[in-house]
Amino acid sequence: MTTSLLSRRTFTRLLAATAVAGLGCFGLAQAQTYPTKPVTLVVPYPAGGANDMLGRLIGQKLSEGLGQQFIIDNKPGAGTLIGATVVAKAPADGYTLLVGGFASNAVSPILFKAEYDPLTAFEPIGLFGTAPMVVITFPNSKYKTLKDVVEAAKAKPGEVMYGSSGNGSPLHLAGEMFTAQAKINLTHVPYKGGSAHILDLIGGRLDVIFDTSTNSTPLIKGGKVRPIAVSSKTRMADFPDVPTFAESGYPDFTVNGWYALYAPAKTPKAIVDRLSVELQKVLKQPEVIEKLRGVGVAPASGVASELAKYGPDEFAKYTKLIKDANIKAD
Amino acid sequence: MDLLQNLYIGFQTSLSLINLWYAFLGAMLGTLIGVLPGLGPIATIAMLLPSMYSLQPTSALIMLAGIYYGAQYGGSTTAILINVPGEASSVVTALDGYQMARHGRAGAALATAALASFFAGTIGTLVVAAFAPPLTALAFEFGAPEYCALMFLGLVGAVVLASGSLAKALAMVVLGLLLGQINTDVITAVPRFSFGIPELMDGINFVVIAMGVFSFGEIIANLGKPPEHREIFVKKVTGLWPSKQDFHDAAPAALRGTLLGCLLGVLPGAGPMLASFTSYSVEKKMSKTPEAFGKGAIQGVAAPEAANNSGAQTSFIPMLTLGIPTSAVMALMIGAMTIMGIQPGPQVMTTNPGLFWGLITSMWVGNLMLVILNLPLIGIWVKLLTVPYRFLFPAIMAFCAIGVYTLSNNTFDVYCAAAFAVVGFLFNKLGFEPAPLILGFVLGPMMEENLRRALLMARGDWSVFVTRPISATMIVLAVGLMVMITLPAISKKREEVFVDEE
Repeated sequence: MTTSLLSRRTFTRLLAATAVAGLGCFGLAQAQTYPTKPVTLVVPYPAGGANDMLGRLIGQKLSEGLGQQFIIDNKPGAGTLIGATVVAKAPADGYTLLVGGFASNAVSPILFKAEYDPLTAFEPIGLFGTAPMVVITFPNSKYKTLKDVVEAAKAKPGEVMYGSSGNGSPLHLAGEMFTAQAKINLTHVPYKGGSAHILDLIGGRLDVIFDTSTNSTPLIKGGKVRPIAVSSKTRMADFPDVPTFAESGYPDFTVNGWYALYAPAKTPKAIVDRLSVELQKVLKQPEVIEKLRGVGVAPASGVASELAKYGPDEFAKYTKLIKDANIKAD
Repeated sequence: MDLLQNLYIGFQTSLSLINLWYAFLGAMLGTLIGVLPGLGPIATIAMLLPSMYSLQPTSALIMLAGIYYGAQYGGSTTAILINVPGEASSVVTALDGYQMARHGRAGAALATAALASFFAGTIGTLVVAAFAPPLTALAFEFGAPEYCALMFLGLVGAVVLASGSLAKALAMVVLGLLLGQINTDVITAVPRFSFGIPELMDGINFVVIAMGVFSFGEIIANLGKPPEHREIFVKKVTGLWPSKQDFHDAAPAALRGTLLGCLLGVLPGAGPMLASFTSYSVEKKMSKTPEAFGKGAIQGVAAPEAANNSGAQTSFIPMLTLGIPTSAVMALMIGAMTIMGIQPGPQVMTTNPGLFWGLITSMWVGNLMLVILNLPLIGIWVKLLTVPYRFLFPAIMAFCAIGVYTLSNNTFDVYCAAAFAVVGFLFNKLGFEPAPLILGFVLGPMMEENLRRALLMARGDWSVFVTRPISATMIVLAVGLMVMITLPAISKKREEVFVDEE
C-alpha cells in the first residue's frame, strides 16, 4: 500500500519532469497523435440557425476525417461573446475550438465589452464559408433596383425603411454601409433576431432588408421575396438575373457573413496545421460544397493564412464603419 | 377534394410501418427525456439530433415531430406532478394540474391533459392541412401595433390568473415587467441592468425564473415544515381515469382552448404560450365557479393543454408556407432538413409533397402515439409520487439543475435559479402567486419591443394603435376586461379582507 503510493508519487514527479524537459518537442509529439479524444466545437449560438447547422456539418466531416468525435457545444449569449470567451480561455491543446465568424471575431467585440481581444486571442484554422448579402423586397414592391431605393431615399430622406435582425447584425451593418456609400438616409428598424422582420417585409410594412443569402435563399426560391442586388463579387449561381452591388454602382460595398474555425491562441502549430489541412479536404468534398451552396453559403478554402488576414481586415473595416455611423452600445 | 387527396398522400407516408415505428420511437424518447424536469423539447431535440443524420429525411422529420410532442407532453407531466413547468405554456397547466395532484387526482389530470392534447392535435392538424394559406394571411395582418395591443390584452389578462388578492397579482405583474427589463435594448443595442455580466445581456431565461419561484420555492417551503406535516401527495388516489363529471366539465373547455390555440398559434414568437394563458383566463371568466380555479379545476388543465397543443400545430404554418421558422424547435427542424439535403421553404410543398404532407399527418400520428404510450404510463407516474419526500426532493433538485444547465450550457443559469429559489420561498410564505409574474416577465419585453417599433415605423404617431382595426379592437377588449376585473374587486373588498385575516 505504502510502496504503491510512494511509487505513484515518484511516477507523477517523473512525468512532470519529463513534461518540462520535453516541452519543446511536446507539441509535435502531441500533433502526431492528435486527436486522441473527442474535440469540442463551441457554437456561440443556440441550436438551430445557420451557424449551428454549419458547425454541425463541418464537425461531422472532421470526425470522419480525423477519426474522433467532434462534439457541438452550444454556448449562446451576449452576441456570441459568451461562447467565444469560453474558447479564448480554454486550454490551447486543440480540443476546444470555436465556430466563429462575423459576430464573434469582428463585430461583437467592437460593439460590446469583450473579455478577449479578437486579434490575439485565437489561432486561425481556416475560413470555411462566406454568405453574401442579398437586398430583398416584397414581390410587388415599387423598388426594382438599388437605384430606385436611392432615388426614393433622396426624394424623401428617412422615408424608406429597412429591417434587420438586430443592432450590429450583418443586416444592420450592410444597411449602414450602403447608406454611407450612397449618401442617403434610410430608417433602420431593428428586430430581436427571429423571423418577424421577414414577415413584416413580406407583409409590406418594411421596404427592403439587406439579408444574408443563408436566410433569404429559400424565400427567394419560393417566390415570397424578390432580390434586387447581391453583394458577391460576381453574380450568384442561384440567381443569375440579379445584379451585383458593383454592377449597380457600388463597387466598395463589401459586407458579408462569414464562418471560420478558430483555436485558442498558442495552440501548437502542428495541431492547427493538421486541422487546417483536414478542413481544406472537407471543403473539397462535393457533398459539402453542395450542402453549403444549398443554404446560400459560398465555400471558402480553409487555408489558415488566408483567415489570418481576413479576420483582422474585417475587424478593422467594421471598427471604422461603426465609428463613422456612430453605432454605440455603451 | 384537394384536402382529402393531400391527406391521403400524407398518410401514405406517415402510416408506413417504418415511419410509424419512428413516430413511436420519437414519442417515447421525447416523453422519457421531456419528463426530466427542465429538459424541454429544444434540449431534447438538440441532444438527439446527431443520431438522426443517418435516417431517411422523412423518417427523421417524423421522429423529430414525435420527440417534439413527446417532450412537450413530458413537460406537462412534470408541471402536474411536481409543479415544475418546463416551458412558458405549462406554467398554466401547473396552476390547477398540481393542485389536482395534491388532492389525489394526478391520474385524472394527466389523462385530461393527454386527451385534450390529442383532441386539439387532431383539430390542429386538420386546420393546418385545410387553412394554411388564409391563416398565413392572418399572420401578415399582425404588425408591431397589433402585437403590442395583443400583449397589452395579455398583461391585463395576467391578473385573472391569480386566485388570491388583486393587489398582489398586480404587484407580481409589475415585478415581472421589471425583471423583463434586464436585457439589451433592441433599438439602441445598449445592455440594460446587466452590471457588466455578459450572461445578463440577453436577459434572464424564463425557465430559470419558473423553476426558482415555482419548484424550488415550494420545495424549500415543504422542507421548512416538520416531517409529519410535509406534503404527502397521494393520500388517497381517487381513480386514474377522469370521471363522467370530469369529461362533462373538461370537454367544452378543451374545445374552446383548441379554437383559441388554432388562431393564436399562427402568430410567431408568442403564439402557443399566449394561447394557453388566454384560454385559462377565458375559462375562469366564463366559469360559474371561478373560485375553483387555482384549487384543482379540471377546466384549468384541459383548456390550456388543448390551446397549447393546437397552437403548437398551427405554429408550423409559417414554416410550412413560407419556410420561416417561428420558434427554436422549428429552427432546429429546418436545420435538420438542410443537413439532410432538403432545401426548406415554400417549394417543399411542390417538390416533395410526400415529405410535406407526411410531416403534417405525422403530427397527428405523433399525438396518437403519445396517447397510446402515455395513458398506460399514468399509473407509473402517479406511483412516482408515493416515493418518500426525502428521496423525491433531492432527485427533483438534481434533475432541475441539469435541466437549467442545458438551457445554454452555462452554470450561470443554475446559480441564477438558486437565487430565484430564495425569492420563490419568500413569495410562498407571503402568499404571492408566481404565475402573473411569469406572464409579465415574458410579455413585457415583447410588448416594449413592439411598442417602440410601432412608434418608430409610424414616426412617433401614437394614433396607429387606435386607427388600425385589429389593434383598436384588442385595446377596447383590454380596457373592458380591466373594468370587469376592477368592479367586482372593489365590491368584494370587504370579503377579501376577511379572507386575508383568516
